[in-house]
Amino acid sequence: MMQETLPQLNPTPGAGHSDANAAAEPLVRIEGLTIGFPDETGERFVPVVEDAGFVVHRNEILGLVGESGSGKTQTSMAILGLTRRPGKVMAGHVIVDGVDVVGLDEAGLRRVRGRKAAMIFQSPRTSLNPLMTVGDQVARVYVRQRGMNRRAARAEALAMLRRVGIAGAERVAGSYPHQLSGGMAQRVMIGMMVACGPDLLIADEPTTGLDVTIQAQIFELIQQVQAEARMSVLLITHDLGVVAETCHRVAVMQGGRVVEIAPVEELFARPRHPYTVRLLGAMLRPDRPSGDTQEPDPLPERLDIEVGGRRYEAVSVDAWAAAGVGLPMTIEVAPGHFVLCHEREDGADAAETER
Amino acid sequence: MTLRRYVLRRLALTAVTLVGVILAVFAMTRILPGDPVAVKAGTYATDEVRASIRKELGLDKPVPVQLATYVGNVLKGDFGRSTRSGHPVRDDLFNRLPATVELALAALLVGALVGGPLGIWAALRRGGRLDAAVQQVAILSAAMPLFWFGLVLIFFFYHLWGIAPPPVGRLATNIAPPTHLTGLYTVDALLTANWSALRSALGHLALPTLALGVAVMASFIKMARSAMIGVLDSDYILAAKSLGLSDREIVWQDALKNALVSLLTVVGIVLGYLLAGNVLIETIFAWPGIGYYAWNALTGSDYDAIQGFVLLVAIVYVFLNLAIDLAYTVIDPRIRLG
Amino acid sequence: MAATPSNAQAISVSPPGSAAAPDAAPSRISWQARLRRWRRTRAAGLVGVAALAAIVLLAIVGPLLIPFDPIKPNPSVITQPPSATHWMGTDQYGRDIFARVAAAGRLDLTVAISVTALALTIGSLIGGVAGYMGGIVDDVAMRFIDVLLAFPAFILALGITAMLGNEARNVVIAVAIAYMPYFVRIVRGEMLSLREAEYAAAAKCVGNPRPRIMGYHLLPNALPPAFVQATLTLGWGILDVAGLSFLGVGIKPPTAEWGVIIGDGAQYINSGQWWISVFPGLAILITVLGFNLAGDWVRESVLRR
Repeated sequence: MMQETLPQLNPTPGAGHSDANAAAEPLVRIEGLTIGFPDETGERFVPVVEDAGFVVHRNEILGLVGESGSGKTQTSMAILGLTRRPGKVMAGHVIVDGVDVVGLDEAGLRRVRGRKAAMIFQSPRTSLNPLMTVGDQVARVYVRQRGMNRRAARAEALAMLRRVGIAGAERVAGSYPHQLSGGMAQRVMIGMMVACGPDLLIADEPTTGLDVTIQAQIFELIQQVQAEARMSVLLITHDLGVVAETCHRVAVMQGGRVVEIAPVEELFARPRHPYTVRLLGAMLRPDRPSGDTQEPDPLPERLDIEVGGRRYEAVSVDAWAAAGVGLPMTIEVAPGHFVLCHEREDGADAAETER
Repeated sequence: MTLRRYVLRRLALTAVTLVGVILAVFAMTRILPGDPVAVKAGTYATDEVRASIRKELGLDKPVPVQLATYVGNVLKGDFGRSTRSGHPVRDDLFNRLPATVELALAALLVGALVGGPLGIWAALRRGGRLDAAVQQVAILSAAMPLFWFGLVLIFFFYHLWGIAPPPVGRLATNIAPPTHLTGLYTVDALLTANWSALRSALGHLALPTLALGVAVMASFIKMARSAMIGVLDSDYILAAKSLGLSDREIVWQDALKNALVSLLTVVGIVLGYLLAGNVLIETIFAWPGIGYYAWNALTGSDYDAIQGFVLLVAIVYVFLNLAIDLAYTVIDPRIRLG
Repeated sequence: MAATPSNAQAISVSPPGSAAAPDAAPSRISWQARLRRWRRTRAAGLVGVAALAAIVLLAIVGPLLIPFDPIKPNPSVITQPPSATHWMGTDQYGRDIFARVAAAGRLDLTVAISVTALALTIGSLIGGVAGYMGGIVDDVAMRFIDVLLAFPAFILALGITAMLGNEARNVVIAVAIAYMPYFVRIVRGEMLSLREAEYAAAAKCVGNPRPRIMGYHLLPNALPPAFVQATLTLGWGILDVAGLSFLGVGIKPPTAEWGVIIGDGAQYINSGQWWISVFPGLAILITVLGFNLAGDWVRESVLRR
C-alpha cells in the first residue's frame, strides 16, 4: 500500500534492532521514575508509577505491556513532560537524547516535544482539532517544527498524507476530523507526528476501537514508518500478539513498576516474573483446543531465580505486602533479560546486581 | 443533503412552535380561570357594562370562532388596540422596539466582552486565586435581584455621586432625538455626528446597561469558563501539546475557537434573559422600550397590549434561537458538513 | 440546565497494585477528584446553609423581637432612616422595614417552596408519563413543552399572572408553570434510559401492571436529577416572584413581600431614602445565594452516587 519511501527524517547512527545492548547511549533512559497523584485529602501523593526504569534504544520498537492502571500511559507521558496535574513526577530521571525532561521548563519541553519524541493516542478522532481541516493541522507542524512557509507546508502535508497511505489525499486534506473514519484519523495522526521528525514515536494503544483488519494495517504502517524514518517506537498495548509480531524488545509493567524486560523471543520463551507468566497464560493459544476446559494450574505468585549461585525470587507486585518482602532489585538473568526480584531470605550473601 | 434536511427540519419545528405560541397566548386569556371582563370592567361595573365589554372583546362568540378570529388577526399582524394609547398594539410595540434593542445589545456587548474573557482567563488559571475570585463574582451576581441592583446603581451614581443623569428615558429632556436611521439613538447620533445627542444617549444608556450587563456577565463567565475547561481537557489539546506547540499557539489556534463555538448558545439564552429582564430594568429607568410599555399596560389593565407584548417577545425569542441554530450550520463543520 | 460543567481532573489514580482504575481515562472524572471537588463545594455549601438558616431565623424569630406591625401604617414615623428603634428604618407609611422584611421572609420562603414543589410534581408526572409511554403521548407532550420554552420564563409567568389576576395563589401557579418544562425534560430523559433498563423488563415479566412499573419501579430512580433542578428553582422562584411583585403583578401590596417592599422604596431611591429598598433586596440576595450554594452542594452529593 505504501509504495513511496519515507524520507530519512532522522538519520541516526546506531544499532540495528537485533542487537539490544549495543548502542553506547540509548535514545531514552528512564531511571527511578516515580509519579504520584494526590490522595483524597490532597495532602499525600500516592505513587502510580514507582521506581520504574528502562531504556529505549535507537531504531528499535519497544513494547510496553501491562494491565490497565499499571502506569504504562503515565510513564510514556512523562517522556514528553505531559504528566497531567495534579499528578507530578516525584523522583527519577527521564533522559531523552541527553536531556533530562524532569524539571525541564516549558521552553525546554517544547524543544523535546515533537522533535525528539511525539505521541499518538488511543482515540485518533478526538485527538484532532474538530474545527481545523486535517491538511491545516498537518501543515502547521511543518510551519512550527521546520520553519516552512504556509505554501510549502501545505505541499509537504499533502505528501505526508499520501505517505501514510491515505487515498485521495487532496480531498482528505480539505476535510474535517469528524468526516474521517477511525483508521483514517489514526493515519493522519501518525503522519502528523512523523512530520515532526521525532527520534521516538510513542504509540499509546493506537488501535483501540478500530476494526481488526484496520488494526493490522495501522501496526503495519507504524512498522513501515519506523523502518523508513529510522526512528524508535515505544508501543503501548496489552495485546501480546501484536507485541510478538511488531516489537524487538518488551517491557512488562505491573502496579506501577517495570517487572521484566527482555528481547521478544526471550520473553516469550522464558518468562521469569510470575506476572509475565500470568500475562502469557492469558493469551489465546491457537495450538490448544478451545474446548479444553480443564482447570488451569493455579499460577504462582512467586518464582525462584538463580543467578551466579545467588538465589532470588520474583514476586507478583500485588503480593508484595502479603509476602512481606523488602526493597526489590533488578537483576540480569540472561543477556538483555532483566527481572525485578527480591533476595531470598534464606539466600546467601547479597551482592546486588545493579540494573 | 443532510444539511438541507437539518435546516428544513429546524424550520418546520419553528413553524410548529410558533403556532403553539399563538395558541398559548390565546389560551392565556380564554382558558385560564381568569376573567378579563371582570378585570377590565372593574369591581363596580353593572351587568350591562359587562355584557357590552364581553361583546366588544368578542367573548360572546363560541371559543373556536374566537380562536379563528384571533389567529387570523395575528397572522394579519393585528395585535389588537391599546386602550391606553388608542393606537394599534403592533404600532406601539414597533415604535418602542428600537429602544429595547439598543439596551439589550449594549448589555449583551458589555456582558460578553467582560464576562467571556474573564471566564476564559479563569479557566486558564484554573484553581488559582483569580479563578476563585471570578467565580465568586459570577455566583454573587447570579443571586442578585436585577431590579434591586438597578436601584442601588441609581442611588450611588445619580443620587450620591451625581455622575449619572436622572434615570428617566433615553435622552435629556432638552435634547432632541437624532435623525431616525436605525432607531438606536447612540448609533444614529454617531452616524449623523450629533455629538450632544450622543453624549446624552450614552449617559442615559450607561446605568441600565450596567445593571443588565452584570447579569449577562455572570452567565458568560460561567459558560465561558466551563467551555474552556472542557476544551483544555480534551484529547486534541494534549495532542497539540505533544507536537511541541506553545501554550499561546494552542490557546489561540485550538482552544479559543472551540470554546467560542459553544458560547454561541449562551448568546441565545442571554438574549432571552435580556428580553425578560428588560421589563424590570426599563421600568426602573423609565426606558421607553417594549418592557416599559408592558409595565404600563400591566398597571393599566391594557390586555391587548400585554398579550401583544408577550406574543412579540416569544416570537422574537423563537427566531433568535432559530438564527443561532442556523449560525452553527455556518460555523461548525460538524453540522455544516454533516 | 441542571448539568454541571465537568471540570474535574480527568486522570484517575489508584495506589500501585490495585487493578481497578483505568490507565488514563480522558473525560472521565475519577471518584477521588470528585470527592475533592465535593469537599470544596461542601465548604461553600455550608456557607449557603448558614445563609438560609439566618433568613429562616429572621423570618421566625424576627417579628417577635420588635413591637411593630408589618402592615399597619404609622403616620408619625414616616421614612425614618435606620435607628435604634427602627433597625432598618421606616417606609413612606411609617411601617417598620425590619418588621416587613421579616414577615416577608415567611411569605417568600413559603412561596418559593410551593412554586418548586408544584413545578417538580407536575413536571415529573408529565415527564415520567411521556418518557415511559413514548410514541404519540411523548410527541404531544414535547411539542407542548417546546411551546412553553419558547417564552422566557419570567415573561411567561408575567403573562399568566396578568391574566389570572394577582393573588398569591395565582403567582405561585404562574411561576410554577414557567419552570415546569425543565422538570419535564429532565425526568423524561431519565425515564427514556431507565425504561430500557433490565430491571424494568424484569418487573414487567413478573406481571406488574404498567402504572405500577412506572410509578413504583422507575419514577423514584428518575427523580434525583429533578431534585437537583429543584434546588436551582428555589432561587429563581424567589427572584421571579419578587420581580413580578415589584412590577405590581405579583403579590399585592400592602402584603409584606420582598419585591413589594423594594417597589415601595423605588421612587425614594432618587431622593436618597435607600433603606426601604436596600434591606429587602439584601434579604433576597442572601436567600438566593443560600439556595444556590446549598444547591451546588446537593448537586455534587447526588452526582457522587
